[in-house]
Amino acid sequence: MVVLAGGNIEVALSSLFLNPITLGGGIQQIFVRFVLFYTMGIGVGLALKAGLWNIGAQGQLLIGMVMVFVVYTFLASLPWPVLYVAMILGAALGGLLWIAVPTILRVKFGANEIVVTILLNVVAINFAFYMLSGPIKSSGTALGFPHSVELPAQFKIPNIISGVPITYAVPAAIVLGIILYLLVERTSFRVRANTVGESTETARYAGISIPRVMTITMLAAGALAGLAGATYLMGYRYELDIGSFSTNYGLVAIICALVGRKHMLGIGLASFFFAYMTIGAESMALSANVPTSVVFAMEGIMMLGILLGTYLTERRFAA
Amino acid sequence: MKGTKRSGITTIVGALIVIVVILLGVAAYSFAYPATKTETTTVVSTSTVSGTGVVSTVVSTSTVTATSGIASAIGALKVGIILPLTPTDNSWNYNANDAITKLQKEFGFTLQVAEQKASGTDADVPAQQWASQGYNIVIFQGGQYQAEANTFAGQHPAIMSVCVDCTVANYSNVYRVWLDLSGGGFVLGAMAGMVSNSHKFGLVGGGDIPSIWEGHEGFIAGVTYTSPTTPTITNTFEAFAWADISGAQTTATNDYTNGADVVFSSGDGVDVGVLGAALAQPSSPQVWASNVYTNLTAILPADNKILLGSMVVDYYSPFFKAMEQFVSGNWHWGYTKVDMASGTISVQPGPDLPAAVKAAGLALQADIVEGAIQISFATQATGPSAGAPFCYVNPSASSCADNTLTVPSGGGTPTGNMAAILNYLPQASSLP
Repeated sequence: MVVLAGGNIEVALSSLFLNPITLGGGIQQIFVRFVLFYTMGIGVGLALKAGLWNIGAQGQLLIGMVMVFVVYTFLASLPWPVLYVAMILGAALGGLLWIAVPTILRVKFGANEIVVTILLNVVAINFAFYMLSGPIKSSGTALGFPHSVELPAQFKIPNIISGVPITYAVPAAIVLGIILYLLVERTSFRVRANTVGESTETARYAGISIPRVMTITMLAAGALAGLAGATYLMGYRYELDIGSFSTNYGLVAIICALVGRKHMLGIGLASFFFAYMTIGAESMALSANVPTSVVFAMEGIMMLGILLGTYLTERRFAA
Repeated sequence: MKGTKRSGITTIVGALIVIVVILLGVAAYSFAYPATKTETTTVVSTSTVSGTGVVSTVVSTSTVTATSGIASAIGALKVGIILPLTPTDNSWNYNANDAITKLQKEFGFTLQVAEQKASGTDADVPAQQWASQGYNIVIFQGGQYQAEANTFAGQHPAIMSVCVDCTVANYSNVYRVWLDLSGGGFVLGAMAGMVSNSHKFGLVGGGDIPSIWEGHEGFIAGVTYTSPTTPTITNTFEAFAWADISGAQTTATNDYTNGADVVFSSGDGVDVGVLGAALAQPSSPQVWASNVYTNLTAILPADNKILLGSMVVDYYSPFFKAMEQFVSGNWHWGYTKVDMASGTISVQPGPDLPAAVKAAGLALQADIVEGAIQISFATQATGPSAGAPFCYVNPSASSCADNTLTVPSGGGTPTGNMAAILNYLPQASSLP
């Protein structure tokens, strides 16, 4: 595809694999994306175990970001450590509440959670815009595009090593993944969730509370996406503006959950892979003079290849 | 199943508590041992509009004058531009790409274009790559990149960070390009008021931000100025959905269905949707639509039959000005304003418009460029919103009601519509 698009294949490969770690800012971008993909991805994967598709991770991420500044703005009188915790918990709570609507509709009324979560993404953008245009808007910048204030230094997640732009959000996300692995994959919860996901009839026969499993997995997915919003703002961007609205991180997180086979550790590997490759692909587009659309196509083909390989491997072992 | 001691909700809450504790711990460490502190200052400046020269024809080719030394220095530059969509959009991205490409061909500097960087974070990747490759100027084409443009500028003080449609500069190496669409909106509105039969008008905007708002208010003032009866105006802003073609098409179709025969659009995918809605209407009654940024007559003549006019934005001049100031070493805290009075915004009337309407539009445009008509907005004098358009900040104020423009007999300062302050308007009946 690179050759067909008129690009230099050697430069393209070099850019794809080496530039993410050799060019300025590449490592930071990789880990920013890794934390986002992984934190959201394990939530999506958790819901997938119960057979539920949370397509609304993007919206929950955005609500989490908004909640960081809602708490920061309206609870500003709290002492620093309490406010710091409240901002993180507020982001998680925001994501949780945002997904509560499709969860209730799914559990109580059987509404398709795919449709509802997608629609709520649009609502989230409009809600975030409303909040950014008024309640959490920076008061000193009315003339420009609406945006929040920048978080003070004590509310920013610091780098692990001074001068190396990798924040403590990275080990925190990894620890979170390990904990979820231990609590989900190594306990009976995995069996219950998988049973609900594969057959509600079987789950009902086994005495599993289907609404309970669905509610837990969906609410956790929303909370994790909201938490991802907190790590993004407090660990990288530090302010909320419309440049935060147009990302597709929620969709990539779904891909990571699928490629990672809904496994808490597998999603971690997939998240790092996609974080690395998206930076490499974007760098390749510039270095090898390849149109970005070709890069997007390559990413899609890469994902299809991974999914196909996984499927064929499973069939082989099943046979 | 019953043997498990942990419920799912407990496990998740437990995990969240652990993560909070970790983050709290490292933050406490950071608070106790703070990193180097960086002082930042926000500077919001204002500029004075002044008109020079007479425009007899519109959408002229921009020309710049550069000494051989300046030209040679510009030729040695390395410039990158970041676009939110593709240059094939016939709008915002096309226009910026077209301008920078023309400059590149003229001066020969190194140029790279990064397209489809929808979010600010996506923009940081090419910007940082260029910084590590010794680039001199990075153009962030859109206000959505304002945070990145400022962060990037702080990290790379030797690089000029050009931010288009941005107002905030936290660092002196952020070069702002301000857009004021009010003059173009006014001319298009005046032509719309003359050409409309139903006197119903729609406006579809991609987001309620000052530059878009000014274009809408200018259009409303123009419609109110020339419409023989009180116009009915439907003003719609979508929440930063510049790429939402179908949404804009739906909104515009509703406007046409409800009787509007002119719909004003504010650029990008919104233009595509509005123009598409207009083209889908029956040939009778005639409907009209407008676009912003590009001269659609030149690049998409198939739309001519419904084209009220194009508000053409010239990025060639501000980009050149930024480069010229950079190589001259006189560029810190720099900015430039793009508006009709300075000649960097012009209206190209649709070729199928009645001749009298086209002539009236050109006459008004000439008045604005000459300085005979100055379109500006009352601004907040004090407080945190100082400098912002008063009616943008206070849309419900009684003085900000639209559709109340009254032009004194024989000309003079109109009254009634305080959204736009128009210092002089000829009697509408006296227009060509």
